[in-house]
Amino acid sequence: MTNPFDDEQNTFIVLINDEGQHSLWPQFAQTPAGWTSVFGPGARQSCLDYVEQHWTDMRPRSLVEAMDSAAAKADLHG
Amino acid sequence: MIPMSFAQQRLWFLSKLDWPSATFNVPMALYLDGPLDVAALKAALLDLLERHESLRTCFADDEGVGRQVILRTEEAELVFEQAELPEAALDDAMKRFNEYHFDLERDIPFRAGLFRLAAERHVLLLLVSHIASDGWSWVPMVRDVAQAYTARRSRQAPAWEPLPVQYADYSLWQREWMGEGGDSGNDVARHVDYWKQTLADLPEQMPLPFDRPRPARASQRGDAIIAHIDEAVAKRLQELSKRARGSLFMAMHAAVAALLYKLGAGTDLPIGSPVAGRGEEALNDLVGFFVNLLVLRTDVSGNPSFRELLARVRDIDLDAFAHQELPFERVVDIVNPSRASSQHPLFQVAVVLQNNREAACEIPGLSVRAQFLVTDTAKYDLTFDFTELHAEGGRGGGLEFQLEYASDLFDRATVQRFADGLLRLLAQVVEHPDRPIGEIELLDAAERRRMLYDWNDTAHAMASDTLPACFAAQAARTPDAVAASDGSRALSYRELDAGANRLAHRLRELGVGPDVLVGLCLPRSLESLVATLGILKAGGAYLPLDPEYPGERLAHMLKEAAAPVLVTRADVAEQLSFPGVELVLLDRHRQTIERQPDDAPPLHGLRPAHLAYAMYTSGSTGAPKGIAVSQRSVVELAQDRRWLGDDQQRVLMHSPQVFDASTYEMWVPLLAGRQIVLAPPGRTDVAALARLIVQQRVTALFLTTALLRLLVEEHIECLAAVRSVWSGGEAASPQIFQRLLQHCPQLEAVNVYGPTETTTFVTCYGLRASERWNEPVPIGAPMDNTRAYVLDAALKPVPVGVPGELYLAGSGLARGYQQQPAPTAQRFVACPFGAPGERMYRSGDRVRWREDGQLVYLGRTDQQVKIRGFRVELGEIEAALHKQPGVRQALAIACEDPSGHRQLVAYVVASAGTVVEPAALRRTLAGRLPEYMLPAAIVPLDAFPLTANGKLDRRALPAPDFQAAAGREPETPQEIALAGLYAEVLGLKRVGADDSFFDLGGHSLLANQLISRIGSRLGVELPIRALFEAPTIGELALRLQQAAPVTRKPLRPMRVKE
Repeated sequence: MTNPFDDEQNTFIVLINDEGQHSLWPQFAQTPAGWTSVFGPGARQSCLDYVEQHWTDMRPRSLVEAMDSAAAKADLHG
Repeated sequence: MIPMSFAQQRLWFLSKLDWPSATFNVPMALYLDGPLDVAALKAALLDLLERHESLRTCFADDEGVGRQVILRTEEAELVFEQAELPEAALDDAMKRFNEYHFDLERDIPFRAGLFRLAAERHVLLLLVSHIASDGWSWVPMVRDVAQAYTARRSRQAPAWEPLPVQYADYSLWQREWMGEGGDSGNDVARHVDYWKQTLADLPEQMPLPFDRPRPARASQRGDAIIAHIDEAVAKRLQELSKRARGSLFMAMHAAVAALLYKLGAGTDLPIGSPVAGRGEEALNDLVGFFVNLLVLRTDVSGNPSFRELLARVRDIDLDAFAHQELPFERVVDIVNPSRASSQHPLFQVAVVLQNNREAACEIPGLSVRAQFLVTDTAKYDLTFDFTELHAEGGRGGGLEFQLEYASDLFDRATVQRFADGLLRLLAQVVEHPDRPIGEIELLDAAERRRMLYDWNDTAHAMASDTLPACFAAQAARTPDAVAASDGSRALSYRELDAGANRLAHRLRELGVGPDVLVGLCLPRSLESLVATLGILKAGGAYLPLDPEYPGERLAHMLKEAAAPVLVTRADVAEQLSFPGVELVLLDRHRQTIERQPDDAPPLHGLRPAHLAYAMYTSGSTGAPKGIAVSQRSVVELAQDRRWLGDDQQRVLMHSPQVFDASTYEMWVPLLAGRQIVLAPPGRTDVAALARLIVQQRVTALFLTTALLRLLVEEHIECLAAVRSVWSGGEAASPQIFQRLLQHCPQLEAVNVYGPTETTTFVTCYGLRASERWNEPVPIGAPMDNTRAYVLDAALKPVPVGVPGELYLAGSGLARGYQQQPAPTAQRFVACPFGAPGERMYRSGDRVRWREDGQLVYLGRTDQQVKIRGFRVELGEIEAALHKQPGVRQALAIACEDPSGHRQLVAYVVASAGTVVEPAALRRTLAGRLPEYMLPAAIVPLDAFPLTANGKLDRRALPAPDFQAAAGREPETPQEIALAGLYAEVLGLKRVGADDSFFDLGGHSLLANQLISRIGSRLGVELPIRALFEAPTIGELALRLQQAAPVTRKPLRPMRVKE
């Protein structure tokens, strides 16, 4: 059984969620709720290249935002 | 002399193998309503014998070669049993009758029974041995009986033309066609070629979701599920096959292939099917065993639609039909599979479409209904048997569907699910013939809900905070409780807190904060605990580094993790160089650190989503990858309800800190006011560990599968007062768990599973001495706030019992692979079953659900193996070998050495004009890979063995030679004694005096075994270190002379209960 994520025969898309997390996704499967397609359909490697180029900050977005607002608050009070 | 036909030969052989057995009995019942002339019936049966030689043929054994012995009708003894019984007793009576064991040398292969239920209600039971009949024989047989009975009732002989040929003529013809002794004929050669080509590299066995492993000897017991395929579906299947210019059989064949694929049987499916084997018209009126078996090798790869699959199947079947004359027995010889006597050769699943079952039969004055009987035997693992029903009277058409199964392998409930699955599958493919078969849903809504939600109902509200906050709260609750002890020294929660705070201040000065990784390279000690906590208290995350790893690997990790600071000691740091990394040396910089304040540095910005640690594991692409775990994941693991109660009072910490079991060992006790018992630094010394467990009254510990085995086999007494033993990492041994619980009935043994990517433990299965369990030990059900999904290649949940890949979701999911977006996006993927936007981790582990919602581990889907509990990607070893000059091809495998331990073996092919020196290659690898990743043997090959299809033939790889080189023989009494123990532990015949333990396949766990046996047999206690320093027999013998004899009393439990 070839895993659908490893099967080079499949066509893939790249999904992203609200946290900015990226997921490779086989095109044949329905896109799960809370995810949107940002790249593809395309070959597996082209999707991975896209992820490599675009997912540069791997921290969850909510964490980044919380830190930014904490930093802003600290600036305000400091 | 009349030889047997090839088919008879096989059956004769099988029935000898199996005798006495009713496996090859074929019964048919004729329900006769109306006045019956019993005498005429008997005469008619004799007419039948007279007409068909096959029914009065016995078989003689001429020294292993069978031949047919045709009796004259007068010689043949017809058994015609008669009984009168109530209808209720009929089934039992028929069953008994059908269980007769034909003795083919003495009995004719035909018996009849007449059961009188009422004056005008009888059942005629005809029982024929398969060697004399087949499914196509019933038409002439029933027709002839009816005709003869009609004639005999009028006191006449039947007026039929004598048969032009008999079965014996056929067998002689077949032998001639086959050109006895050689495949001379063009025709035969063409057939042979076809089958040789078609069946090259045929899978040995079709993997099905068996309930039980195949026994060494098949009992042939079986049963069948009977279902009905309704007329509308059957009609649409007819239409689909017509449009594909195929037959209904092909549609059924395609449907069964799709079902098998959905049941995890793979994409290369050898499916058997009988063909009539009556090529000549003259054979149609004969009773006899003509049927031949075809192997329909069905390719379902590429997730085709049902329509595509049907087109493929049509070609496969037409080709096979065009070569159907070659006897199956010859085909078996050609393919020559490895003969496992209990499994059917070449195929284990069959598809049959009967269209002649309703042998039309008219007898004046009698109403006749014919019925085939289900026997309680099974010839194959599964037989999908379809019979076309013709709509008549009140009865609808459609197909009768019998699913016969081998009871050795399957439970009825399982096969019922297969049958239900096929019906659901058929309903979907006639509706959507162009949809990929991967999208077919085998589960109904209730089953789906049970698997996806009921079995994953693990939600449990937990405090969500950071590790420093949780620890600070605990330290405030129990400041004076012992947080950790190493046997000689102990730290209270207050002391641990203060020490960690001081280090944290220093790290803050160096710029450590949230999501900053800090290298941690210290031997296991109270100091290393303080340091770990100090890194977290500075807001950072720890990156554990094993000082024994090659420097190149450590430098790579530090660089990739962008760790600006490394906490270590001067003596460790001296051996390594890390340019650009600030060193905090706990020994040399003690004063700087001690000057820092005792209270915690403020941590405004730290959140549960920040990192707690990153741990590196082997990576398949050639470089290790760092798994980055958040604070929340660790805090939630530590709050799992399974740690409640008193079992976790004192937890042993002995796992290497680079191994994620240390997460359990550290945080489960520390976040609950319990105590860590620290094992001494360095390599695991099992004897020392056993002493520590007893002396420090350890109540709970985690052991890798291999370490559990060793402890149970060599030091089980040390567990006599332990309450909780968690074990995992590799497939569990039920015997070891049994033995553990037998000796230590007070404890709970837990088989646990969890990849590092999901924070140590995700599923577990608790075992108590009082419980009985079936092999194998499950990995259990998901723990708090985690969920498990077993999915197929279409990302659909698989039915119970069907192997699928395990996907994990929930709070334990790591944030990802450190600085590796693409690998993270491939492994941590969108989850279709959870909250919107949630991710799941695809584990690469093959598992199946049990009926009770427990998971059973089956193996890996990829090249990852476990060596002594450590994850190893074979690809990483291969990549490392490839990088060496002169290596053209490299292959790494894991295999068992003679003593049953799993070892890594590498095979290399040298580039043209170069020679590969295994010992030198191994030394080079040692500078790049950690010890557990070093192949125990490197085997140079001229070329890799290939199968007929040009794929790597793993079975043809030569077994590595762990045997010792012919060196100096052991001489002194110590050397001779040691040689015996070496050989015993390593599973070797002989060991030379100058062979190194580690070159012969020894590793640290075997080393423990050896040291333990030296203690018990030779009465000398050696530290485990001695073996690493003096690995040859000659060297170790010198150590023996210097060592003190054992003075310590044998280990025994110091207290049984607190």
